Amino acid sequence: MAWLNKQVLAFSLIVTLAMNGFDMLFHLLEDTAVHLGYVAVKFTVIFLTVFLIVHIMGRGKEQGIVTSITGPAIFYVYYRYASPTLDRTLFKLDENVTYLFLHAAFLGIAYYLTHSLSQREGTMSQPIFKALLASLAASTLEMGYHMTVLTPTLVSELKVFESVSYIYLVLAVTFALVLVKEAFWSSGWIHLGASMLLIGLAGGLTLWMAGWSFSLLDSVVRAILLGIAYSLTEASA
Amino acid sequence: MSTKTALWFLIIGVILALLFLPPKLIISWGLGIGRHNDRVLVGTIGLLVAVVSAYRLLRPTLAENSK
Repeated sequence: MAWLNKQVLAFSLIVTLAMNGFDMLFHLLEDTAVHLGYVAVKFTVIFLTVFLIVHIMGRGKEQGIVTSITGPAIFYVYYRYASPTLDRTLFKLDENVTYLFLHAAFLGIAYYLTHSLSQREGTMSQPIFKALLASLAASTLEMGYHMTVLTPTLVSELKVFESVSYIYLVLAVTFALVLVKEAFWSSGWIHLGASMLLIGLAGGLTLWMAGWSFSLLDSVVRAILLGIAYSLTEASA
Repeated sequence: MSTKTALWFLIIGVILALLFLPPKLIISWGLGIGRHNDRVLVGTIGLLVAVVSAYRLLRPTLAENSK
C-alpha cells in the first residue's frame, strides 16, 4: 500500500506512545487509576489524529499545534457524549476540563520531540530526544502489557502496581541503554536489528535481575517491547 | 488528497458525526446499531475526518508543499 508510508506510521505511533506515556505517568504520580478502556480510546483517537494530519498535511510547527489541539479536543468530545453508557463511578477523570489542556501539552511535547528528532540530525540533543522517546514508548507498552495480560480483569487499572518505581525502572533502563547505544554505535538501518536485539535483551535482563519479571516468558515479552519501542523511535526519525 | 476528495470526506465525516445525537433519536430513525458508546466512537472518528478534511480545504498550499 503506497499510501501507508512507513515513516508516517512510525512517527504517528511514537508520538501517540510518548503522549500516553507522559499521561499515564502523570496519572500514576497523581495516584489516579488508569483504565484500559480509557487508555484504548485515547490511544485510538490520538493516533488517528496524528496519522491523518501527518499523512494529509505533512509535518511542521503549524501541523503540530493543530494536532495538539484537535486530538485532545476530539477525545474530550467523545468523553462527554459517551457519558450515558460509561460507568461514571469509574470513568470520571476527564470530566475536568483541565485535562484537555494537560493532554494538549503532553501531545505538543511528544510531537515536538519526535519532529525535532528528524530535523536535528547530528546535533547533541538528538540522542537525548531519541532516548527520551524510546523510554516513554517502552513504558507505555509495558503498562499496556501489564493491563491486558498481567491483570486481565474487566476494568484493569494501574493501581495494581505496588509502587511507581517499577515504571521508573523501565524508563531509566531504556533511556540509559539507548544513550549508550547512540554514544558507541552509529545509528542506521543496518544496525537496527542488532540494536533492537541488544537493547531488548539488556532491558529484559535488567528487569529480571531487579526482580520485576514473573517468568522467563515475561522477560522475553519485555525484551521484545523494549526492542519495538526503540525500533519505532529509530524509524520515525 | 485532492480538493474534491477532501470535500467528500468532509461530508462523510459530518454525516458520521450525527451519531452524537441523543440515543433515543438515533434509535427512532432505525439506526440504533450497537451500544451508544460504540456509535459515539464512530461519530468521533467521523468528526476527526471532517476536521482534518476542513483543515485540508482551508490550507491547500500547506498540503501541496508537504508532498
